[in-house]
Amino acid sequence: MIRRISPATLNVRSEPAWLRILLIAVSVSFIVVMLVLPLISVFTEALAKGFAPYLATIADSDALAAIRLTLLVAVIAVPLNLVFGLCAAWAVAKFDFRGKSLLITLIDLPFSVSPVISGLIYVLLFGARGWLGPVLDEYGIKIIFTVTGLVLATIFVTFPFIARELIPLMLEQGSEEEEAAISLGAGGLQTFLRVTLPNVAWGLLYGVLLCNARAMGEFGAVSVVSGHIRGKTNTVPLHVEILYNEYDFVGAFAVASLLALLALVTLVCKSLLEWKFGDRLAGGAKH
Amino acid sequence: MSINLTGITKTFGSYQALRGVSLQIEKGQFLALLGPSGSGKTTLLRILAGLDFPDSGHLIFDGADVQHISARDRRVGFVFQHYALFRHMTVAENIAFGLKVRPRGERPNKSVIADRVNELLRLVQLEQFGGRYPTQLSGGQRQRIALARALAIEPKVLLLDEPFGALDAKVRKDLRRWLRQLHDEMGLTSIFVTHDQEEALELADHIAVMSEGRIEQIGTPDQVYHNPATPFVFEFLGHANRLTCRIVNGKAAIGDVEMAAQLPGDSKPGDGVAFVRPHDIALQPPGTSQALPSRIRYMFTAGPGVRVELERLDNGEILIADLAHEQVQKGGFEIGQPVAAQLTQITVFPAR
Amino acid sequence: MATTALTGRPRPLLRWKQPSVIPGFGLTLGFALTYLSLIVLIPLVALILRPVDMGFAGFWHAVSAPRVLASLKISFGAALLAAIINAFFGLIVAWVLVRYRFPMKRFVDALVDLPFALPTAVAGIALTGIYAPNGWIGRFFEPLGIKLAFTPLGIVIALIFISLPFVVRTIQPVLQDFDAEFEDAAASLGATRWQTFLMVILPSIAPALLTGFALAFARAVGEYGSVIFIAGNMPMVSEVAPLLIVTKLEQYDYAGASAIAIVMLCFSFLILLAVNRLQRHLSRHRERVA
Repeated sequence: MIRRISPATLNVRSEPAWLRILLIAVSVSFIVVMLVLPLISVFTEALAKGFAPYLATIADSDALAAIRLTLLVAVIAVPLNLVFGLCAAWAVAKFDFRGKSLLITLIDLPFSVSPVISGLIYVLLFGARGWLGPVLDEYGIKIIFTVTGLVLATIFVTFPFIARELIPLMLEQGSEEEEAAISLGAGGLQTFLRVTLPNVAWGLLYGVLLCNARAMGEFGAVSVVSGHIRGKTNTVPLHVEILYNEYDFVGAFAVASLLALLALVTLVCKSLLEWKFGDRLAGGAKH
Repeated sequence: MSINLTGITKTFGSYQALRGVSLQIEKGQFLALLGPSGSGKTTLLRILAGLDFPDSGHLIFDGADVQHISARDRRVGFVFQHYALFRHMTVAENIAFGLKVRPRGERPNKSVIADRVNELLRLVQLEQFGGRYPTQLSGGQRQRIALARALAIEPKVLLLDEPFGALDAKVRKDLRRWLRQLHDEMGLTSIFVTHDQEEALELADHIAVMSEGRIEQIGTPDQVYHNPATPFVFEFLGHANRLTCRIVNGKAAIGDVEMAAQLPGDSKPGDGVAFVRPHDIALQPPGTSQALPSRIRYMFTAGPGVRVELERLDNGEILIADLAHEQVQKGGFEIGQPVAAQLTQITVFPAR
Repeated sequence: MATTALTGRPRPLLRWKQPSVIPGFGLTLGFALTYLSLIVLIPLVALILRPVDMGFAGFWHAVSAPRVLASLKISFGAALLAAIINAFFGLIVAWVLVRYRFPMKRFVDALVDLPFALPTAVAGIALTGIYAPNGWIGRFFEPLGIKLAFTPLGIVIALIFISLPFVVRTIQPVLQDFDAEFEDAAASLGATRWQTFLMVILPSIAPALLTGFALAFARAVGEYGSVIFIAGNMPMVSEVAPLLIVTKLEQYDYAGASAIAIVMLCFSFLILLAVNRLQRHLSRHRERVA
């Protein structure tokens, strides 16, 4: 028997309307409950007692010191990882050599290491009872519980972001344009600046954005090497924890709202980049 | 510029792309490197441009060894298969690139570069497209821009990798004629890679047929087509019927019939392979001597002529013959009819 | 003699790099390797060699302590549960985002990345606030006698949050590339929509689903920042392994901390290996489809 069906359901590539609506409803509710509610709650809790206490917490000297420190750490860590990302992507995407896939795997390594372990390895190396700690101590060099330690742990955690973004992009673009530039007489640096960089500029920006967001927001790794010295080695996320543990919820959420804003700005920039250059950023699915 | 290659070999991992290629190209030649994919033709072209490096052999441009001269300084115009136009630059910027990246001392000033770009745009007949981006152009237009970009550095030799591969048939025909004209007018030495024998025959004045990393034959289109040096060349250039035969008395014996044939140099008696082009088969009434008794199995109109499938009565092998319409009408040939297939030109190679 | 002109460079038997006209190989690879070694490899080796210092017996003793085992069980169990839940919902979200049109779709799509961008500490305190007995959601479960925050359930909730994007973002591109022609073919051969999904679509996206699942799992196992606020951190009940590492470090028990870390690291390597395999399979498959 031939079933008679309405034209709307004739489309073999889609589902009946009720199922479509159900699936959309499930997805949207899941996203709202899991993601949107927490985000909103940060701001409502932060403003629970009005604007004045909110501003007071943020203008607090410890909070300001934490903000300065977080910015400092990001300003050091992100450019270093940027240079690394460009070098690694150039070597991997433009050349064929033995051990290339191993290198790519190693670059990904920090993604799959627990943040706490990322901090731990530096404590084991440079801490008071670590391998190099006593030696460095003799020369008066301290790494753990100082800004250096924070920077190291942050670099480790954000290590793969930019390279990860650039490698697939540059692999996909191949080397033909670079070869064309060289056959037309361009030098290495000229080729990089005039041909390669403009082609990956948006992907690069995207990677820097993600790297920066993570660098400013990192908690676990930084927590292990920081020592939580207020005003000295306390970054913004660590400051949130301290306030929270002192039951200063408004204060904790107020400082947290700054980080949430940073996340929102990152997301907006990322979406804008994606809508504009969507096809060129396709590589960066996993972080 | 004259080019002299000797004993070029190249391996990628365990894959041997070139197995000792030697080739001489005179100034002003338009040479086609013709071969199936994997025959090493593109590798050879990239080695000429300095984009790949041979494992051994030597490479002389105008009497000078260029092995240690980088691609940057070889002054070779290379047109990439997919054009490799810089997608973030306009057409004019693409063309100007090779001039802009010259060292400060040798770099022409801005107005000279602009003039040169306009001149090249005019040459490739795309004057009004200078401000566009490569993605806004059709395939044929991109091809011409890629060519203009390569010509901007005033190359001594122009290399083109499958220049028409990505274009549709009509555009391809027009561009071929145009490129041929350009080559002649500019007095270039040009080499292009193709797998399309028709393209090679039409465009080039010399053809090097390549197979499995070797050059099978070099010659003018006429020589290569009419006097193929190897069975590979015979079969690669145009359709060919392949028949087993024996070489006896300076003739080719196919089935029971001995026929006059073009034999290999020594024409020693023995087993051989005979090649016959479809247009070198004539149909005669059954019983004609010096012809193979056959039956018409099928025939159909193929463009300007008629293609006839013949089944040999002695061993059932199929022969393909191309006839003119008038011949078919005059002979009154029909499917199923017995005929005698007369092979007017046979080329025999010793069997291996 | 001219022959040496081109053969001047003798060809090594095992060439580790194909020659190329593009410059900068030595410089870029050199820098990348040095940086990688200093930041990642040497510190990790320092950790891996710890058991040599403390002796294998010491290592075993540290790992087999009941509190350590309990924390590992909690970390792995909660992460597994969170990854399974995310695999299910993530597939639906990815499907809806790729296949359907609905209002605010771009907004929803952008939001999926929130857990990547939002610092884990912020997520931790926000989730705790919501799922606490007097929170926006917690208060509906309180009368039913179900406690969410400060229990292992809270851990699972936090882990769902932080690992949610992995599944969605790995499936999305594969689903996007999936050629609808296969669905047409299945339908023309008489398959129902559900059969088409199960027999044609699902097998093609299965490697991506598995990859996303593995990435989510790996990330969740090591999570610290968001979990410690919501977990309650009761030893043996709701104490995760990363927290125990921190606790041991604070007590200067380096051996104990490294022992747990090594167990977790081994697991990370295994996951990484599996993901690599899957990715290779995935890219091969995508080439074939393309």
